[in-house]
Amino acid sequence: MKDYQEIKEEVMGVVALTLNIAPDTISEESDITDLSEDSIQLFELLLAFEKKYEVATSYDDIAKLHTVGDIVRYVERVKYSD
Amino acid sequence: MHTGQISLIENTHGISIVQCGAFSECKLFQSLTPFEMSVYECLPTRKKRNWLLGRKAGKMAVKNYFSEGPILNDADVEIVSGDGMPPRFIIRQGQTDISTHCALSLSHSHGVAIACVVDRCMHHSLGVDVELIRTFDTRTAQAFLTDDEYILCSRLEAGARDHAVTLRWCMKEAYLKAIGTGLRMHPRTVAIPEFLPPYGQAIFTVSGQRVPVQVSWTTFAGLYIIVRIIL
Repeated sequence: MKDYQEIKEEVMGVVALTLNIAPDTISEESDITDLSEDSIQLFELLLAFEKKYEVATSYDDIAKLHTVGDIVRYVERVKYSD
Repeated sequence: MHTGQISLIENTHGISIVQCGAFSECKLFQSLTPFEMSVYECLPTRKKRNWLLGRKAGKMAVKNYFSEGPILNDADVEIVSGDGMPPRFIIRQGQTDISTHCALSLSHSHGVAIACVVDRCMHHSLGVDVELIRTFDTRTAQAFLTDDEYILCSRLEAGARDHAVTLRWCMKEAYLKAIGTGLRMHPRTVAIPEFLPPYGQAIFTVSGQRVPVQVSWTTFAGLYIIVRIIL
């Protein structure tokens, strides 16, 4: 079981790697559409999270996540909660 | 074509295309309304240039659409977007907003922005997309292409494959914009036919249902694909 801080660091690492941006430019409040250069990058980011966390959920749910913090809370809820 | 000036090209299908050189952001900024300026100031730095281009393209599309009416300046046209809603525009001529019967769609990618306006009375809806032609990794391509589309594109040589895959992404995204879902609906649910006319009717298959759409597409500057879908 990972705590919130661990998940946050993991999520930020996926964002930085996938979008090829410096980790120190990312915060919990960062909007993922603002971080992505275009819609294809945003789609690639969603794929990266699906692969990383093997989250079985609807695409509609994932697409409703707006900020890095939203993703961290989503992963915490669907992957690590009892 | 990075001349430092804003260049505008109207293609034959009524799509405004704006490409911007490196030193014209100040000129673009001056075309904003006070509300748009406040939105711009809050954007992350790396998003500002493309956002400005999108606004400029939108204003040009609106001015083009109303070219037989009163003369409009860029600052007469305010473009509003956000909260997952399609963009819309407001033209205030005295107390009358003359924009309510129109649909606007915008897109930008890597220094190019496009926009189009259509009459809602004549067309149900509209979606446009512009993307830089690129090489997709296999996993991404398989994620948004149907199996048939993937097989079709895989048979092409590299350059043609990049073009075909990017074109299909543009078609799917423009269609999803036109129906108002954007990427909340998975692009794999939209199947694009093998043959796509540069201008005319095509039949998409959406969640198993045949859907007629008016498509137009072109390659811009040899680097970008531009698509417009009208329903």
